[in-house]
Amino acid sequence: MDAHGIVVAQVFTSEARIPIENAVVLITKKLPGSGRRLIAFRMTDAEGFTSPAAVTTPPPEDSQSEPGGSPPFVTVDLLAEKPGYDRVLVEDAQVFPGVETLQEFMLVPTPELPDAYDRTEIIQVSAQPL
Amino acid sequence: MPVVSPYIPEKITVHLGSPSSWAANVTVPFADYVKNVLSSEIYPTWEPAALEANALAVISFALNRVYTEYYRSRGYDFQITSSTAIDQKYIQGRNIFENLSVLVDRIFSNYLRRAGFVEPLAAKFCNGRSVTCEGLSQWGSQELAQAGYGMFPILQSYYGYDLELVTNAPVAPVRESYPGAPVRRGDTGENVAFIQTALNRVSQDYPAIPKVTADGVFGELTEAAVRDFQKIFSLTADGIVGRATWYQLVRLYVGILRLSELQSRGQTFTRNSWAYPDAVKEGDTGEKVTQLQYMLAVLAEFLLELPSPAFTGSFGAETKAAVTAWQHLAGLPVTGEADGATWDAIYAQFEGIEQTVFREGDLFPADPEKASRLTQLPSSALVPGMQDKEATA
Repeated sequence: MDAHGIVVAQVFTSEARIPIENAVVLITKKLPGSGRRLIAFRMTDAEGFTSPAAVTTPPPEDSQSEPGGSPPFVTVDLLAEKPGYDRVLVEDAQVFPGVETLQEFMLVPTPELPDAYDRTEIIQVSAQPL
Repeated sequence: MPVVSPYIPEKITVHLGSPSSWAANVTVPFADYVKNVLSSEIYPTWEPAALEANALAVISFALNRVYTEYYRSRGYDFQITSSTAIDQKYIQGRNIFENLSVLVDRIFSNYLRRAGFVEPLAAKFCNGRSVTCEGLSQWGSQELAQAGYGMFPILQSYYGYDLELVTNAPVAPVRESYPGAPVRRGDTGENVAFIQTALNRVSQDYPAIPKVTADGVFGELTEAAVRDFQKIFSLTADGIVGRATWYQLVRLYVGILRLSELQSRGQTFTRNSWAYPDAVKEGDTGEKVTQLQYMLAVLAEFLLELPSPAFTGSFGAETKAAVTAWQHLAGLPVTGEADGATWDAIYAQFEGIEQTVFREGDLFPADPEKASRLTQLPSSALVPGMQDKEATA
């Protein structure tokens, strides 16, 4: 069986971490070239958490000693949205085998009469400098 | 800096770019900052000992930046940057690995320092593969952990054997050392003593600044020295220590003592280094002998088997008897001279007493009553009229 990592997201607003219920969280993987593959679709519960999603990863041995070619993790994109809030997209979040990763989304309410309704904050995650 | 006890800041302000670049500042809880850096710097699948060693390096480095007011003394309004070249990698809003999060919640109030030094270790690190440095190697720590090394031996193998782990440091809001109002002629107290001490140290490299007595009283001579200092550093030469002058002094003092470098000259608690000198034996004299006698005298208050030597500064029969008694007690070879193992054992016991019993309040209390407490080496409490031994050495 392939190795897996677990992804959980929590969606809230403001520094007081007020949970947002029924927000949509999409976990996708970029395909070579263009396009994305949907890995999981989750709705948040009353605490703002999604249920865990399993993601296939490279085997754990890859990250134990100095790297050869391919990175020892898989990267996914996570998008959180809920009407009335600006979207947040996290690109290239890493998932490691056997490790649970928590992605927190702090959504900011969309202003009244925004210039555009397609407002997305993009957070780009880069690999560890190892 | 007058505020000398390091503390864990409740929140830390991170500049999301290199120091002089236009970038946002974010203020986040310190533990969240450490979790983010750790998730951005290393692989969460590594051995637990390697993860913990790296976490302590990250924490100590960040605390050093806060303690030395590294950026504040350069005029910036943040404590650390997210630039990997100078500080540590931080990605605002990134995903956090659960095992690292649990680890950091457990140890975020611990940090590293060198034996006898106050400041948190400027624990530099690099990956050890494409970049090597004098600090910890991230891949190297993983290899040592795989070979069965524990967290502390891993850290010692990179940062040296005089490393200490401070646990449960107090948590406090970030405070600045600048007293809030200009310090001027007629003022007295700790802040004045710091200005005088720093001026004296700086004047070694800038001889145009006259030496002043570090008596904690801001008089005419101190004012003249401040004026000369201000002239050299293109500050308004008014003889009043406002924010700009204060932080220029802090910056030079930190720079000269290399407090923000891995090979620091060290800010010491009692302004004496407690590091093992060389064998101290019968017939020796000097400060190290006084320190040894002092530590033994403190120990003697707690261990009734130990005789208490007088602070004579010369190693006579009385001191030899105390060292011999200690060696019996500690199960060390009985030689009657303080070799490395004996000194370290005495220091470890002394430090234990200091931590458990006495570490309360300021380390340089302005109140002379407090300054003369049991573990303040009698010759070196910071009192009016005294010079900073370490800084003027």
